[in-house]
Amino acid sequence: MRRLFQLVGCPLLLTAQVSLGDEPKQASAVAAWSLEKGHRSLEINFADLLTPSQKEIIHSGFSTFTLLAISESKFNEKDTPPQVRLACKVKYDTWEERYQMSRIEPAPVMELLTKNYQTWAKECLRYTLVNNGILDKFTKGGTLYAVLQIRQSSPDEGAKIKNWLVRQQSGFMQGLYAHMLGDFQFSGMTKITIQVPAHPADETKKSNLHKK
Amino acid sequence: MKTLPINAYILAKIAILSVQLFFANLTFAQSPAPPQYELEDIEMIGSSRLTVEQLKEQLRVNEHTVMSDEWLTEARARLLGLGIFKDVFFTLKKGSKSGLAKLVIKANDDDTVLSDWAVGGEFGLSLIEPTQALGDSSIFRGYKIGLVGRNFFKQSHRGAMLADVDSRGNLVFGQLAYGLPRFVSEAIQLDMMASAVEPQQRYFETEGYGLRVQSIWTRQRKGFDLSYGLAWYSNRHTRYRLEGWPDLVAGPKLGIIRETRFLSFLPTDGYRAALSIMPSLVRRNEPVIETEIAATKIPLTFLAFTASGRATQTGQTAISVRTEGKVEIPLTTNSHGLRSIFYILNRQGVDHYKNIRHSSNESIIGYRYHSAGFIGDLNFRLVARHPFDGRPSSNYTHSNDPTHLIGDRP
Repeated sequence: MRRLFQLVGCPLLLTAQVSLGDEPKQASAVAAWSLEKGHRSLEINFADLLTPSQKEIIHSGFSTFTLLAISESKFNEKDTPPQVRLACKVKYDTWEERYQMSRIEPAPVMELLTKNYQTWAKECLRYTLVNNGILDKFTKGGTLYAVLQIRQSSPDEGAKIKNWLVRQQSGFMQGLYAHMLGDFQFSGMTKITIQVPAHPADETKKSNLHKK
Repeated sequence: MKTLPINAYILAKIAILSVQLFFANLTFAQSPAPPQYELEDIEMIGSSRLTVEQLKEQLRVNEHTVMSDEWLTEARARLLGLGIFKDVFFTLKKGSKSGLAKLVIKANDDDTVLSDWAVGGEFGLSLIEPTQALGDSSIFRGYKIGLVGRNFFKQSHRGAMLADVDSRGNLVFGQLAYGLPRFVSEAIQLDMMASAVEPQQRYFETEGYGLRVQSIWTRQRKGFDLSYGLAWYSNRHTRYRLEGWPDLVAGPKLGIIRETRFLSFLPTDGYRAALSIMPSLVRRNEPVIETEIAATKIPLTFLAFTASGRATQTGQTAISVRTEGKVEIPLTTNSHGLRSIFYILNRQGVDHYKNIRHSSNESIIGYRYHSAGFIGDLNFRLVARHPFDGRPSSNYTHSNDPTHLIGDRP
């Protein structure tokens, strides 16, 4: 039995963890209320939240896809679509040092050629929430959730490559891929928690009530 | 695992967006043309699994290669298709003059395999119920060591080795396989394999023949893989032979394969169907036909079920059939994926040739754990019916009688 326990223990000795790929980054942002021409809105700016690797992807010299999804609920708790989507394609010209941008969603498609990072970031990494239905829910403050994904690859590329690997598994070489546990990582993903402050008017009301 | 819904959602969304991006590309045509530069130099950082020369060869690039978005897609597929990187990221830097750019490739090694040779391995311990035919009362019966490499000599050579040793130190099942470097664009590969199995000890790994040597080209054609090459199956060795079976077949082998599963630590949903024929040059009236069918279903996230069957027929009189049903239950995961599984496997086998018939039934309960490039496998085998029970144990103290070298005996 002693021998048995020694041998059973062998697989357990293999439990040393290794550092594998990147996890989605976590970040937080604060939304700001604004009032223009009597219309209230919530400004959310993600431009300063880009990680160094995400900035590197954008400045790679090849086309980059950015996708921003904002929701009232955490995406991983409810499989509900986000309320807001912002999708762009941007290509940085290494020699001319300028951005060629195309915003795909929300419609209509908008194009821009600029040398200023902030200019294109304003279109693709900043969102102004004007939907009254949503805004009403946040007059007393709250939390929104967002996911920002920046990819250098086309969406179906991962599936194509995996299909290629599937077909390399001839009878002789099947064991070669028994170790491939992880999936390909094509993007930099950031999960963002957005703190929404109470609407100033609501704050004023509260303050007045308190004074009385 | 909880992050799946958002990942799935975003991927689905991006797929829809790709259609819109296509139209956006059309609109791009009216604005300044997207910049495209010629390659001046190439550098790889983050990995030493490929030399710059290898990299250039794999990417098929030279000094005049124009690096467009389409080129990027193909280049990435070429590198990831090698199976040694988890991710590759391409960046352009300014070249020495306008119109030229330096390509910097950041690679993230697939660290489920180790070192520049991308090596992984498997250690297995099988506890087998003692039987009369095995002639050993010890419960410890099998130790298995497997090694795989996807990038030998840092030049994309592939190889696999498996040694299954019984408690007396005899090699009861061994396999050596080698694959020439493969490239995405050619969609063709050459694999060579030699295997030896002792039927008395590893009946289910024996499919009619104790020794097999094959050299096969596999070419992708649409959804199918066509295979062709040479094969040699033998029962002439005193240890590695299925007694009473045809002693030798050899000749060209042609086949067709359809595989849709990704055979990772836990296979994905899908199926495999394969058919091959070997018109033997040795026993001309007895061609060898091999068929295989397998399907994996994952009806629930915590359960994978695989059913498979294989048959090897030699001529009209010899047939060897193996079937198995396997249930795999993932036990533990971490942020990088699945770590361990529990499995139950039932195997059935039957061999029939003239007046000789063997059959067996075996159940296996096992646990597999993956970490740091290696898989540990601990299993217990319960043999319900040993194929050679009641017959002398194959301890291979055969005399030098040359008739022993001829398998095809009455």
